[in-house]
Amino acid sequence: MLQTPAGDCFTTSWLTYQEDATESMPAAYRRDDSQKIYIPIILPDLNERYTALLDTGAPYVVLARNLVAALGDKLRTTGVKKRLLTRHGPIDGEWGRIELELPAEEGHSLKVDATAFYCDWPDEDCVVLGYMGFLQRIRFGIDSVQCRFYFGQADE
Amino acid sequence: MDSFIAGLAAKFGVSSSVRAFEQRPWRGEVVTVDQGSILWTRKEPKAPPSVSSAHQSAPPFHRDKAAAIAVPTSYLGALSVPDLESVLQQMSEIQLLDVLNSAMESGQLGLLQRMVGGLKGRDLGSKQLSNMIEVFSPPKVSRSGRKLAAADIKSNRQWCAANAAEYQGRWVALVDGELLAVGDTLVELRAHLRDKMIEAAPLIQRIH
Repeated sequence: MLQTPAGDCFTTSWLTYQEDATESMPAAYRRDDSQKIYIPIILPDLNERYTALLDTGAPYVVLARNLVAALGDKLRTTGVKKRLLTRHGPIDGEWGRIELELPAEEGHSLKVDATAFYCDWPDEDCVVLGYMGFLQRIRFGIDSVQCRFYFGQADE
Repeated sequence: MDSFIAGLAAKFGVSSSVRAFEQRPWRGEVVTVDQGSILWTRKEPKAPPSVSSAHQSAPPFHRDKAAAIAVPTSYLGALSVPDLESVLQQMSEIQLLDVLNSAMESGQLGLLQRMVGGLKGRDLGSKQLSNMIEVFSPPKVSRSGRKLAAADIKSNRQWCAANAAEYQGRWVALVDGELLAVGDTLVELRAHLRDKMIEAAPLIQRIH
């Protein structure tokens, strides 16, 4: 797997990402035809896999309202509420934590206990993985030739 | 502490209760109290070498033998990590709630996370404060034994391309390019999946 110049382990795993939003992906991902990074993500509480948008510019994880509804009482909410200004207008929601799983094609999959904003986000099926609260404790790299997302625990 | 709260409540004409603090009628103001508990006794920290204008203009809110309530986040944001941790350790829970809420409301999420990190190990009585610390702590990462086969991704994609017309508008669950369940709604699909007791996490999507 990837190593630092000193020969230390940098990442331990990889998965294949998609850069084009196909017809089977959530409609919100197909609003424009620019290429992005879409990765598989598992919601262990539901034992279901979805296609998530990796967005290093997004603060925290945001789930579509249909997924929030599906998680129901499995959501770990905290009563910490906030109104966010979004492209859908102001949306009220609540901060919480959620366990997500990055599935590896090679190496170790990772479970990430992440910070999420639960709200009435209308983009069906969408999962947005932000930098803060999710990626910031993961070492990662992108191979844009083979469309591989390399990742590993930051403390390994 | 009660006399301290009552003094502030009288000063600002609000209800003499902890709820008055949650409303923060004095946000942005520096409040000093001549009598009551001393909540704030820290000396002015030394300015870092690269002093920002925000730091220079931050009001001197703390006084020996006096208590300051509204701690400006612009001041905290300009502190080095050790100074920030030291300041946070000396703040009351009411002050901590105030600055954490203020950082959250103003979108200073980086500062919010640094502050939460600086409160590690502190024994906190406030449930609201504990919740905020839990929420905004950095993510925790651990290994899992689950694997995702490359063939699974490819075959699922092929299935979608080949069957898009037939299943348009419906929800499907796929593993290794095999259709496990279908439903008109996500709720219906999930009900079918529950019956099947599937170990692998199937790909769930709506065919558009």
